[in-house]
Amino acid sequence: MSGRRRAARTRRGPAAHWVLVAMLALAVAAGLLLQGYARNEIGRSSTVETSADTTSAAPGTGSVIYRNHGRLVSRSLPPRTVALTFDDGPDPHWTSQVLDVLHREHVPATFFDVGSRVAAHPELVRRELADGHEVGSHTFTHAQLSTIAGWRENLELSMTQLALAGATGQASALVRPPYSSTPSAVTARDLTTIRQATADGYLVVLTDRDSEDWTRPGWLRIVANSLPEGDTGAVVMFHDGGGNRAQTVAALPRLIGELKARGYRFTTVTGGLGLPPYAGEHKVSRAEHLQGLALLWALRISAAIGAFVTWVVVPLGMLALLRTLAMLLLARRHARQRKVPAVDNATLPSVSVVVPAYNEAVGIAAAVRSLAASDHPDLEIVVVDDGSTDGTSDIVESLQLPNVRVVRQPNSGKATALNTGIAAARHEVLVLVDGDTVFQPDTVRMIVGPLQDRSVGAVAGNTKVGNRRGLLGRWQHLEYVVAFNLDRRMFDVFGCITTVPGAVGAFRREVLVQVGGVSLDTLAEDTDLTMSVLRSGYRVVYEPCAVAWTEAPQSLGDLWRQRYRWCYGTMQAIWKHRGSIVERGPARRLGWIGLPSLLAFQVAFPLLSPALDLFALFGVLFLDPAKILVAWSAFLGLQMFCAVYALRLDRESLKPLWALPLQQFVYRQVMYLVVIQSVISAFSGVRLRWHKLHRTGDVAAAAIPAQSPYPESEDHSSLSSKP
Amino acid sequence: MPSPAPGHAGVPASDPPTPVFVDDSGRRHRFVRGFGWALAAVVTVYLALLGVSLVGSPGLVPLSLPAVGKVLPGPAAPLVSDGSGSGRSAGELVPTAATPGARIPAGPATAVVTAAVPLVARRQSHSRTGTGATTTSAPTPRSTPTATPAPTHTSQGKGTPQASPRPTHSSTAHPTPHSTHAAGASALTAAGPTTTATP
Repeated sequence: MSGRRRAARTRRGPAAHWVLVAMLALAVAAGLLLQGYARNEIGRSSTVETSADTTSAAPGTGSVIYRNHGRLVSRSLPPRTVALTFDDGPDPHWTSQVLDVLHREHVPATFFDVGSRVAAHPELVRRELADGHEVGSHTFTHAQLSTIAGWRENLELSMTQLALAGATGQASALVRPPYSSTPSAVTARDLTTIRQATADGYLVVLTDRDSEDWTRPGWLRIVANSLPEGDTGAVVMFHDGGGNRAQTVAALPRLIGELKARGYRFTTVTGGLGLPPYAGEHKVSRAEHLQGLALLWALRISAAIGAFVTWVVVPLGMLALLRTLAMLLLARRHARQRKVPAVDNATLPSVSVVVPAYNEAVGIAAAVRSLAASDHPDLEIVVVDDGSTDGTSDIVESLQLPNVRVVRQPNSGKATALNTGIAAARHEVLVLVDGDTVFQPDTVRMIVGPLQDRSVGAVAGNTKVGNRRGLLGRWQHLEYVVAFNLDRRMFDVFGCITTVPGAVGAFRREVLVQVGGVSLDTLAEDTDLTMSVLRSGYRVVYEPCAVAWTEAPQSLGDLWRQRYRWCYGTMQAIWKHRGSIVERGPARRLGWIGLPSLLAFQVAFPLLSPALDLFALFGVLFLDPAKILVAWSAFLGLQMFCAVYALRLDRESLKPLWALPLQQFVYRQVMYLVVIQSVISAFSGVRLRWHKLHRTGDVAAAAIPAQSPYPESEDHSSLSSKP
Repeated sequence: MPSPAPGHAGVPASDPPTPVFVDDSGRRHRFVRGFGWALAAVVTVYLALLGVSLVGSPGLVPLSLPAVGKVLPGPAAPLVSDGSGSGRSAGELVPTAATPGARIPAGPATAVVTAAVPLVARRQSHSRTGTGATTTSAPTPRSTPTATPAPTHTSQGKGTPQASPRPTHSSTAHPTPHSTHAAGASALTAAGPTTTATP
C-alpha cells in the first residue's frame, strides 16, 4: 500500500540528494579556490625584486609607457609636475587617511588598487573616484606579472577590471605591474609584460621616484626619497595598503608642502600626460557592471565559505584531539582499575543463550557448536528461527546437541525473534548472540561474571572481526579494536555505555521485562535496548575478556548497508531517548554524556568532515603545504599511538597497523557519506524497508572458508549488531 | 518485579511499534525535498555568479593618447617606424600638427622640451607568450647581436616567417620593410634624453 509507494518514491531520492551533496561540495571547493586565489597576495608585498640582469630594457626613461600606432612609446611628466601614486590599496585603515590628507591639501593623485582588495572594500574605491582621484589596476592579487603564466596574467588583469567595474561602474586603462620600479629597472621579462599590457590597450605606469615608504624608514627619509631632482616632472610611488602606512600618512603633507613651495603642480597620471585628468577611466556597459557585481558577490560568498570552513575545521580538530586524549587516559584508567575477572563457578548463574537466526545455514552450525562447547556448567541454548527458508533450523536440529532448542516463528524481524527467544528461555540470565557469531569456550562465563553485582543490568562483550583478510577486513578490525573498544572503555568509566552489541551481550531477565523487551522502534535495537536499560536505573558494564568473533562485511556495498542501518538506528535511538536529559540517576549520565557524545562524534563530526578534507586540500594548494602535512602527520601519529595502545590492551598483533593511514582515504569518506545519507533519511521521515535489513548473506557465504573459528554468514548481525 | 514463569513470556508483548523518525504522511519528505531544491537553487546561483565572473572582462576603450611627437613642440622628433601599423613610411618625421581624432594636449604640455629620439625600431613577434622577447626586444646599447632571434609568428595567421628581426642596435635602426604583418608588428620608440638613447 502506501508504504510500498513511498519506498518507490524514495528510490529517486538518493540520486537527487547526492547531486545536491556534490553541488555543495563543488560550491565549497570553488569558494575555497577563489578565496585562496584572492588571498594569495603576499601581505607586505612592496618589495622591488632586483633582477641580476640590471640592464634596463625599458623603451626609454619615461615612466609612462603605452602603444601608439603599434609602437611602444615612453613618456615622462613635464617639468615641475608631479603625480602622486599609491599602490596596494585600498586598505580600510590607511586609504581613508591618505584620502583625508589629499583632501586637505587639494591634491589629486592616482591609486593603483589591488583587485581582490577592491572587491573587499568597494566603497573606498568609490571614494577615491568621488574625491577626484584616478584609479588604476595593480593586478588582482598583487602578482608579479612577469613570472606567471600567460593565462594567469590575463586573469589578473581582467578580474581587476571586473572588480573595478562592479565597484565603480568604470574600467581603468592604467596599470602598474606589482614589483615594478623605475624605467631603468625594467628587465627584458618585464618588457614582455609591458608589451602585452600595452597591446591590450593599457597605459603602463612605472615610477620616477620610489618613496620606499614600505621599508618604513621614517617620514623624513620618505620625503627625501620622493623629491624629484631639480624641477623635473615625476611620478612618485607610495603605498596606501599592504602594511602599516602611518609614516606615509605623516610624510605626505610635508612632501606636498615642499613641492608646492618649489612651484610644482599636482596631477593625476593621465592629467600629467596632457589628457583630461580622468582619461584613464571609462564607463562600462550595464552588462559589464552586472558582471563585475557578480564577481564581487562571488568573492563575498567565497569569503563566507572560507570563514565557515576555517571556523568548522579548527574547533573540529580541537574536539577530535581532546576526545582522543580523553579516550587514551580513560581507557588506561579502565584497564588499571579492572580486576582480573575472578569468576567463581559455584556462584555462576544458569544462563540461557538466545540466538536469533534468519537464513544462517552457512554459519549457524559453527555458532551453535561454539556455544555448546562453552565451559559454563549450566547452559541452555535457544535458537530462534525467524522463518528461514534455507533450512537453518534443520541444520541446528541435525547437530543433536543436548542443551540446544529450536523455536520457530514466521519471519518478523530480529527484535521479535529476540523477544520470542527471551520468552522461551528458562533462566534468569540471558546472553543474546547473533547467528553468525562464534564464541570462545570462556566467553559465556566471562560475560555473566559482572552480573554477580546486583546493580549491573547488562554486560557488553568484546566483538572482534574474524575475517581480517583484505584491506576492508583490516580496516574494520582496526576500527573495532581501536575506536569501538577504547570508546567503550571510556564510556564504562563514565558509566554510560550506549551499546551492548547484539553479537555478544548479557542481560538480566528482570531488566528486560522492566524495559518491555526488545523494541521494534529503531533499527539499532541493541543501542535502543541498552539505553532503555540505563534509563531503568541499572548499570551497564564492559567485559573485554568476553570475546566473540563476528564476520565483517566484505564488500563496500555491504559495509555501506550495515553502517547506514547503524547510523540511522543510532540516531533513532538518540531521538527516542532524548528525554533522559531531564531524568535523574544513571539516566542523567546517558542524557548528559552518552547522547551528546554520540550526537557529536557519530553524527555531527562525520557530517562536517568533508569540510576537513576540502580544507586539507585547500591548505596544500594555497597555504603552506609543509604545515598542513606536518599537522596531518601529527594527527596520524596520535591516531597510530592510540591504535598501538588499543591493540596492546587487547593483546592483538600490531601487524595490520600499516592499513591505518590508508583508512583516511576510502574508509573515512564512506563513513561520512553514510552519515549524510542517514541524516537526510531521518529528516525526510523515510521508512527503511525491513527486507533490506535482512542481508541475503550470499556475499559472505561465498567467501566463507571452511575452517573455524571464523564465523560464516551474516544476517541480522549486519544490521544492528554493533561491536 | 514480576517473576517470569520459566518457559513462558515474562516479556510483555511490546506495544505496536512506533518507528522513530518515520513519517508516513510524506509531509516531512516533501519539506526536505523543497529545502533541497532551495539549497540547490542557492548553490546554482553562486556557481553561476562564479562562472559569470570568470568568463571575461570589460573590454578596454583604448586611450587615444597622442604620439610622442605630437605633444612635443619645437623641433619635430624623428621617429623610426617599421613602416607598418601607422601607415607612415620609415623614418618619417612625425608632424607636430594634431591628426584628426588625436587628443590635443592640455596646456602645460607645451612646456615639454624633451627631444624624442628613436631608440630602435624593429619587428617584434607579438605572441602572447612573448617568445623570443628577450633576444628581440631589448633595445639597449648592450644588447648582444649574437642572439639568434627567430620569433615564431604563430600567434598571427598572416605572419611571414622571413621577417626575422635583425638585431641591430643602432640608433638609426633600419626598418624592416619586407613585412606586411601589420597586426603583429610593433616598434619601440623612446622619448627621452638623448643620453640614454645613443649606444
